[in-house]
Amino acid sequence: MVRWVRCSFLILSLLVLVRIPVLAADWPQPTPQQLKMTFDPDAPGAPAVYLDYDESINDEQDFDSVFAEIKILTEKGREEFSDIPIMLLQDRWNPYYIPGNAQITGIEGRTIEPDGAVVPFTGKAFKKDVVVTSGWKVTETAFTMPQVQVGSIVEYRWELAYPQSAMDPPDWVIQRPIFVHKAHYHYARADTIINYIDIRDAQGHEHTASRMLYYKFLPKNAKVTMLRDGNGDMTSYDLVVENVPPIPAEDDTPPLNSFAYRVALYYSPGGNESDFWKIEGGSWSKDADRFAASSDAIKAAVAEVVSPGDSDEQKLEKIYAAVMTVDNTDFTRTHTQQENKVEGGKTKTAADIWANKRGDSNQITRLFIAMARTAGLKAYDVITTRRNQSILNVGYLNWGQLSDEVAIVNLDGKDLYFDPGDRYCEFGKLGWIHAQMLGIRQTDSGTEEATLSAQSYTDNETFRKADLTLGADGSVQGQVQVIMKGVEALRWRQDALSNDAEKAQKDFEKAMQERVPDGVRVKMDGFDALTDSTSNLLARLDVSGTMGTTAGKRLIVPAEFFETNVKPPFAAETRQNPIDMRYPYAQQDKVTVTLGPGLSVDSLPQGTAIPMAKGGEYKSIYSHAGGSYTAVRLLALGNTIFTQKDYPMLRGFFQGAAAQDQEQVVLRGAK
Amino acid sequence: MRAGGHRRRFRRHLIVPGVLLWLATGGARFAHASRDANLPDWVTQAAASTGHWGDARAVYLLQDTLVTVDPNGRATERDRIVVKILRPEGRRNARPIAYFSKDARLESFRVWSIGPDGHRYAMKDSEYVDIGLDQSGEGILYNDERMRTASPPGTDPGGIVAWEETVQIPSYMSQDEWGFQSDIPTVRTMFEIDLPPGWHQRAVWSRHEPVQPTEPMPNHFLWELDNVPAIDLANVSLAPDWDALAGWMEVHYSANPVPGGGALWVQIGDWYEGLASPQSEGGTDIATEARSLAPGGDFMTRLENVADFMQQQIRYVGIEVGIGGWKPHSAEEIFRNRYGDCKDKATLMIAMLDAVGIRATWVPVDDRRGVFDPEAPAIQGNHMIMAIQIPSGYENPLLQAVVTTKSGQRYLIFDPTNQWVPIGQIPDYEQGGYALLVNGTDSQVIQLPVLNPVLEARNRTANFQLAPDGTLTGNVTVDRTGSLAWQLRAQLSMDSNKDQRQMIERSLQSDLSTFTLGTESAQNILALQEPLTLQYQVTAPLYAKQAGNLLLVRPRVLGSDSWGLIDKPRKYPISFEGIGTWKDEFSVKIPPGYAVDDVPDPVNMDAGFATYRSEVKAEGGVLHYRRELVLKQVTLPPADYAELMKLNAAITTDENSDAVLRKQ
Repeated sequence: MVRWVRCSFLILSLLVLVRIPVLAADWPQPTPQQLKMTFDPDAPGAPAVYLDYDESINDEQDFDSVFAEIKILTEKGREEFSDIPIMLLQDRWNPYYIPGNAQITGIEGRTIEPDGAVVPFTGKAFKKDVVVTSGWKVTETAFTMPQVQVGSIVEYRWELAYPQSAMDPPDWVIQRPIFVHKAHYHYARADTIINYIDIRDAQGHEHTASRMLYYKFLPKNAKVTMLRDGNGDMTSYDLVVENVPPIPAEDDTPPLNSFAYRVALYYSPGGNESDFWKIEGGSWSKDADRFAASSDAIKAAVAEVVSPGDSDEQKLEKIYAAVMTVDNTDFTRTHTQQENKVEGGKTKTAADIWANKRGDSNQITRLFIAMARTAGLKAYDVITTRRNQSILNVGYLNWGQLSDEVAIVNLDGKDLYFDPGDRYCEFGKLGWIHAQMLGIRQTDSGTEEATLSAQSYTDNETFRKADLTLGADGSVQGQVQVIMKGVEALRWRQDALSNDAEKAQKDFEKAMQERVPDGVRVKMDGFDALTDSTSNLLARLDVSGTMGTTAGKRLIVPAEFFETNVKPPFAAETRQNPIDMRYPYAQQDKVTVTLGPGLSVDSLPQGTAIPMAKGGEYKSIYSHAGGSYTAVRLLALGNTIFTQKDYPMLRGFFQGAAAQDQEQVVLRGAK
Repeated sequence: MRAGGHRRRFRRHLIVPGVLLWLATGGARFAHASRDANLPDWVTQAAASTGHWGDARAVYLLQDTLVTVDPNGRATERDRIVVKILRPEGRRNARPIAYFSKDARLESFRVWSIGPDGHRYAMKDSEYVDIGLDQSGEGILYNDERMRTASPPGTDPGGIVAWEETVQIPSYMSQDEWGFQSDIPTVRTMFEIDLPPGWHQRAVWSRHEPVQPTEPMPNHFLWELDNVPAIDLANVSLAPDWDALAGWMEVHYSANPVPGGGALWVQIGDWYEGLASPQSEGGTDIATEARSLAPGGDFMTRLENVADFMQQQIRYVGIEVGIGGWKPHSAEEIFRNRYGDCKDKATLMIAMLDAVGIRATWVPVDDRRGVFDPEAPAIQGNHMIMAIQIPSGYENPLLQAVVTTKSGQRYLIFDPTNQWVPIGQIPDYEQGGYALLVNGTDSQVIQLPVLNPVLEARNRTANFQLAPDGTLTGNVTVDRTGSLAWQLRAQLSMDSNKDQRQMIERSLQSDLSTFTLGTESAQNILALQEPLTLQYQVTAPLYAKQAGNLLLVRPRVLGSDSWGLIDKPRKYPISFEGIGTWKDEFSVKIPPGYAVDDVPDPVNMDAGFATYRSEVKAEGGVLHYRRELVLKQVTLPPADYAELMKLNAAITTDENSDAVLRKQ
């Protein structure tokens, strides 16, 4: 949620949200242990650790201050924590935002060597315009600490002075990229406007708030302390935390940032969490309905698309297909208002989107809803997050978490999910970035939380078929067909949409080339149904080159044509965080190799089956008859989220499959 | 000035902050460009151009540069660009960008566009966005370079974007570049310079035959080129840097006659020496530190001690304002703060060496091999290294990166910015390139040496045991020296123990489907004159594959030395990361009950620029695999691609070949 507060300003950083502190009069004295420390047992392997961090926002006295004390433990720590950038966003259009004359002041710092020698910061801080538009600008004030070595302690502090009264409660992300031994956060409210305040919600609606609430997700034993003045009014909030682990950083994790330790203070027009979502959801729903309102234009559009005798499902299919023809500018190009005007189009309603035949993902979703409703169906909007970026945390009262809209249509009493904003997403399916996500949906009586439908591995199937002829000298030729449904089809269709078919073909060819055996050359012949999401996507390729190696009179060739050069995931033996495999899928391969004159099968690999307890299966089957052999392979993954405890099982499954994929076929009669 | 291009200064890697660019100009939806605008004639004329440009994503219909120099030497550059989008990818060539800085003030910037439907737009000043170039990822804390850009309407295939910019040329510059070649075709490109009466100009050409200018007005010179082909390196393996292939012309202008050839290099060297030399005058603290580091000893010992200080104690931080892109900070400041960029490091080291009786000087270079053109005297390069005078008659086997000037003086070339390549050697990316040795009237272009491949080595040895079920277990040792060590030293010096372990696991993942890493260790990470050694234990179940009563074993257990080349006609030269010697020596003890039935044929190839030898022998129940790749040249002409393909195919086949064991 963007808060808009009378007589206040926002300070935003593109990197971190920074606010406040009261400058300490003196520098703290590091302990001998801290000076000598070369390794932190609380943070093994850490490049650096915060020994102390203090951030204070003082809306009463109009300044923020920050103090940091960082122990540099490795060369990486020296590289990453010796330079201090402070970035601010200033908005010229909104007089309530941080004005241009807000100043970073009082920059002080020192480097303390492991022997206790102190090198004061005497350098200069450089202020630079990072981005300047007619409406807003980002500035960066940066300085670097002197004589920093591995083992040094870096201390610095600065203030941000506001020229006018401020009232903007902070949203503190307590968890940082490195371990924090001790941190203190403090917020002092401006006491002149405690009784009421005007706030603007995410949809731009204004409310009057009289209460300050806060969301917290904190380590054990950490507690926000509220301080009251003599009248019993809350004047400030204080937090001390110790031993805060860093934000997890591993590949293939769910978006854990959504659940970082944080404290977010906010003014609320309601009294609790459910009030917040009800109020914000109501605003959003009202806007969505206004946009998706039926009109003569929408009625005409529906009449153009559906036939009177169509069943509800047929109507829906036709409307979905029609909406899919609208140019989705999230995949092509956002047009300027001027261009829209030139072409006679507005972008305020679903009717405008239909008339323009152009809109962004959410606008197209609302167009689908408008047309479905006009066709007499019960259709609802849902707003959610992107699975690869964030997960809705309903405890964190921030509407800004939500970004993407999908649709629900109730057909024969059953809610069906649609993703018309994900161009080329199949009818009745959700794109994987929305599947199983938590969101807020419209209902007949308001809004409520909703978990979106999940995907099954049958939603994302790929069937790869190779028909090859192999000569006794290892020469190979033939054809490959790849039939794709779901994620893979979407990937290449959207590649063509964002670029063009030629680029998508080149990209596909390159991706396939990287998989097949060394010496084999694949050449793209073309896609079928590249723009038709009602059909499976088919890719055709020609194969030439050589395959396999000789050993005496034997020709040894890779058994799994499509997986020869694919590396299994999960190299690391240990894991600290959950694993997100993103989407369930099934891969089926069938490779038939016709042997040239003189060649015959000496041995084929043993087929195998590798089950995985939590929804995975691998199978390989080899057979030969006459002058050819066939390799059939199946890999299916039904689950997407695995715990840290599941990791050995998951890693073992993929490594076992990869080992099988490296099996060889031995042929006799090589030349 | 090349459209969208930018003359590099002495530092490494200039990047455009993509995220910020998107943030700032994604707001195109708020744009209010006026429609059906009157477009300048040069836009409409260029827009009328027709042609066939193959599968190009976009085409420059016009690039027109005019440099105007006033009698006081103040100069401005006015650029006009018209680009037509042919495919969606071409939008990236149609983003108007004007670079400017404190000393290169942007005087004007205007943008027009024509949509595919013919609508004409003129953008307003309020729609432009200024972006500071962010190089924080490259260690640049601050620089004053910015760019102005915009997202014009109508940028779909068939659309046309045009822009005009006028930028002041910094007062300390007396040369300007015409980068007439791009990564898309150019229909027409022209460069004009208008000089005051009596002034002189000299044009130097790089990677293009010189073209004589016309003189449409007195002391106003015009060069023109039509139909300049694109240089598109997408999907080209082992490609040189783009800037090493593109043609450009540099015009020097002056109130005095401009010399040519070597004399012009001298003039440039003299200019830089005048700029940098005062900055290297160190105070007593620098001298004291230098003498304490190198109280005595022979030349090499003193050198090593100072170099070690520079490499380990001086952090890379760039702060560049105005001429600070060229001129180093003072040695005093660098020493006091213990940080600086490449030219700062060179300057402090020159000061420290001076204090211990060793003379050294600056060497502007480009760290992208082939970019610095010795045939085109101009201020070139993006990086600063140094040359250290070697005393007459002094010899030391550690001195490898040595050049001899025309006067016979020997210099050791050293890059104090790369803290992982030992003194005596230079990084792979600089080997074989050209640079300017700054030495007053003896300034001259030098070619940086290509080191002996024996010094740039990776030796991998391993002893494995194979179990009947196909499980392979063994100990691996990998030694690296010279340039083949520096990247790993850099990584390991940053890595935690966990990172180091994961790095080895990732490398094993390339060769082993399933494995367990045992103990591992790294030695001599910062002992630069010693080989960097990695040792680890690994167990790989299912390594050997059962095939009936056969067991198939790949003797090349680990690592690949092939280049992953595609068999396509080669148009551009070939550029390797560097020369070197790569050796593998693995032994695999075969399991009881099995005998060797067949082993891959030996390989013995000599391609001239490289040799590859490999053999597998079976002795006493052990498979011995030995191979050696020696690469002797850093670049090859396109004509050598076929030979390289043959070599690559031989290596690939060797790497994938199996030995066959038969159950007895």
